[in-house]
Amino acid sequence: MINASRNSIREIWGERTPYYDQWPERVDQYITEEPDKWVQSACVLCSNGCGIDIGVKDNRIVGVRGRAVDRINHGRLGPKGLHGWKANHSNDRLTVPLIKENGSFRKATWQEAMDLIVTRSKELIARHTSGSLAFYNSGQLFLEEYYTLSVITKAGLGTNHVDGNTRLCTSTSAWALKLSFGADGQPASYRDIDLTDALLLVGHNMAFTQTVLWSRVLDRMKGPRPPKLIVVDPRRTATAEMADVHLMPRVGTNVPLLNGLLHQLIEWDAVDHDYLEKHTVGFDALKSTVSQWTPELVEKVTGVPASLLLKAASIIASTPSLVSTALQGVFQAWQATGAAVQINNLHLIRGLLGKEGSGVFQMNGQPTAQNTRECGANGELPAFFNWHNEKHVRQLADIWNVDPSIIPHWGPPTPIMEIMRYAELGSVKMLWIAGTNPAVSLPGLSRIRHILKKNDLFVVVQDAFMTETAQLADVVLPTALWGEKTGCFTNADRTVHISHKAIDPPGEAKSDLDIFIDYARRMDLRDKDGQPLVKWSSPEEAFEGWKRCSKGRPCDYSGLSYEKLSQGSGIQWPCNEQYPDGKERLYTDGYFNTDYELCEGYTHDLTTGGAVPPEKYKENNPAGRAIILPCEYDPPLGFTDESYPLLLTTGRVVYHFHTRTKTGRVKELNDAAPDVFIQISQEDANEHNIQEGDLVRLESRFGSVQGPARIGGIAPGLVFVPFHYGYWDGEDAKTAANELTKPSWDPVSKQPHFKYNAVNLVRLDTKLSELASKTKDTLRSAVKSAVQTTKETLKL
Amino acid sequence: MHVDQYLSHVREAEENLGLGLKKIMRQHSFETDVVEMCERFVRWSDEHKASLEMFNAEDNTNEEESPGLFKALFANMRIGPYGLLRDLHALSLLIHDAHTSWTILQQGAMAQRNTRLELVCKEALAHLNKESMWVETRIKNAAPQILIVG
Ligand code: SF4
Repeated sequence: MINASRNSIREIWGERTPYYDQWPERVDQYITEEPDKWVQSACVLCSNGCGIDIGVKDNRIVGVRGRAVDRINHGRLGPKGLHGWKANHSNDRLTVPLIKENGSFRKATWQEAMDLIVTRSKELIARHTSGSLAFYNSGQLFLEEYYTLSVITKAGLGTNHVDGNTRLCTSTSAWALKLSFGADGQPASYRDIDLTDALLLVGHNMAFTQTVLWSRVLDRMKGPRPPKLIVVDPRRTATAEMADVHLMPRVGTNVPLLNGLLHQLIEWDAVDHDYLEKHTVGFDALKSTVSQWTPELVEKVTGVPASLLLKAASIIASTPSLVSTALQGVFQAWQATGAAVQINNLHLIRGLLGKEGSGVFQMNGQPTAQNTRECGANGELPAFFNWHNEKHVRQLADIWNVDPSIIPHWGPPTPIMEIMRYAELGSVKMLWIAGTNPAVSLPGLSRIRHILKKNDLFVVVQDAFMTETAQLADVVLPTALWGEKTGCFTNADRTVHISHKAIDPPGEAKSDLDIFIDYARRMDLRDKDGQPLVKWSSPEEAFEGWKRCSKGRPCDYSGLSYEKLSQGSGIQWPCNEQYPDGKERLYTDGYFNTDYELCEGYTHDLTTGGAVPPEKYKENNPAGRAIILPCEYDPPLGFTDESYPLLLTTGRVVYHFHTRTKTGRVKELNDAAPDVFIQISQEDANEHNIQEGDLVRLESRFGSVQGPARIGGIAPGLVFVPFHYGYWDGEDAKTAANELTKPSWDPVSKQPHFKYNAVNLVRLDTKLSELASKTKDTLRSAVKSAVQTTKETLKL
Repeated sequence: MHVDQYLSHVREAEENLGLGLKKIMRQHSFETDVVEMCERFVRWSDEHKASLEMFNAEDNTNEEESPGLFKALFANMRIGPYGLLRDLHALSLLIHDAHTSWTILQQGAMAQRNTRLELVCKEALAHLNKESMWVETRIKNAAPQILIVG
């Protein structure tokens, strides 16, 4: 029995419910059997974090429905939310620990597997210090798990080689917020989408990345007082189709485009001088940096017609409220942080921040990326403490009751690409990977595979599936998935949700939290008084620990509790005595977290990533004013040439999430997008004599990918490949987009440049379509002649 | 008037810096972030030299001197992580030398009321400040791992 309120595969965003101000409820549901009970949770398949109820029958998930009461989705769910849960019941879940011996895995007990990991950790620390250990985790674990990992690595082991795969998706978001406003944390609220007069989406294909949020926007556009929509994207995406103004800058030219918009606003004096005076520093430097970016120069550099730029600028200049968002088209592009910060600057100079209907979303990609960042699982200190500030380090040491010297304060956290380099050099000797698949998701895959296979690198993978990465591990630990464990996570507008355990994990699989706690105990990590360092054994206790850590910091969770979160909607942080129901939007009083003693970090140069010395920051202490940081255009390096004349950009399709570890195991989602494709313009197709569906190959300086051509909807000279596909069909399949990508990253956020690579397009002789139809024809004629022969034989 | 002479010193310093950057790019080709940054700085260095050309003609500057500082600092082939640290250390000295040379020239240009030269100096110094911040940051990031773990 399938009981579905709608077909979300065909109608991705569902029917329109037009509105202004109050978004009507609509409960989306998909169940395969009538549940015995519903368990409160939220969806973990993108950063929207839609409130969801899990339907359970006989210790199995049998479906889901949206939570009408939840402020994020008002009951709606998208295709991934409605179908993703089926991955929990895939029959290839990992159920026991595995240890690799002589090149193949054997089943092991938890005791054996953990003993091996602990023995190896202790040996390495004794011989090479904890600097030989590294941890790479995810944007999909729960807050309690990240925080526990953070305590273990920072207060127990004392290594700064910790990163999350948020490095690949929203590291730039964190940096842009930190540099402009003093600390991470999205200033805006989804409520602002209900009220705004204009939306600016930069490099953010919202229609595909957060389908329910896009439904909200579509509903606003159909209702009274529809907002104007400006989209910046080099592709004609589903989002761009709806735009009032669609700007298509050349890859690598976001900064000149945004500088052009800023210049125009200043030129027209569409500037809130009072706000600038009271609440910001740095306007004069911005004015001088952008002064050269006339519409004509912008057109020359970016390819965006001056008239379109002026049209977009006039909307931004005159709108009484504005919500802007940025995602991978900014974060994974050239001058990522520089561009993201200019979006903040647009709001600052217009004074459109902290007011109803106005604010910025330096959007998150993954469902729990916000927690990776705020709990310190991205390597930074938790609760936005500043590793550069001695007082902060001491404060944290007091919270954990450890000596401050153990907390890594000798340098910034090591980003994953650097961790890989250390592993390549043999300096990092143990890499523990939790809930992520770097063998598909990192740039320059052939090198990454080589590193993960190295004999002198001990690789631990904890995952629910035998991923491409797990296959290369020395020890594999089976984990519980969402629905099989309890914990909290925070979405892109700071809304904290609780996700209760609905069913048991399969076999001996354990939650990531239990595994980390077990490791801490076996490593005998202790505080200053000889007590266990990790003082909790349940998710709720871990949450209480996190509340103590975050109390008084910008991301204050101290007013939240499991009980409170289990009552209805998710609740936004900060949630404390002052804001017991959470605070809707940040910076309403124009006071930012930039004070020297409060801020999460000091300024960095946007072109080189060079750190401004703390003393210098202190001298010019912005003391609560937002920092307007200008960015000069830095023309891309090592771009296209005769051998690699086209630009590659990578991205998502609507039905999949990341490397398809979950969505690829759901029939409906996989059937909707089963294979890689290579999107090229009609002009480039003509030049290479390529037809729709022809098998083509892309070659870069780093590798190659092949797949059928999809023609149109993209600017000439640009090529698009979705990044979800890997090696499920064997290594020779060559479907992983990251075979092509350059191991290069933004100097500030260290986020890889997935959207800036040079490639060459080759038409392969064999056409997939021809091959398929030939096979069909051959089969048809074989069947025909067999039938004929049988008939004739029977006649005889 | 020694302004002409300092034009030569500046050119020499930029020459040295360019050579140092290129050597690091060759010797540490797997450090992708370092290579990219050095590539950018080479581009800047070339721009700086080009911007001096009009003054050379105008001021009839002498021929450039031999790139002594580069030779002294980069005499040895240094590879591996420790080699990288030493090379970045050497690079920071070249950047400092270039910075000082431009600063001296800038002071001269101001006294000479040569606003065109002053502007060129200002732009070059803005780049060199960034280079200097970057090299210090990169050294600080790399040093703990290289010195303690190896
Ligand atoms: S929009 Fe995101 S969080 Fe909501 S249902 Fe879809 S995948 Fe899940």
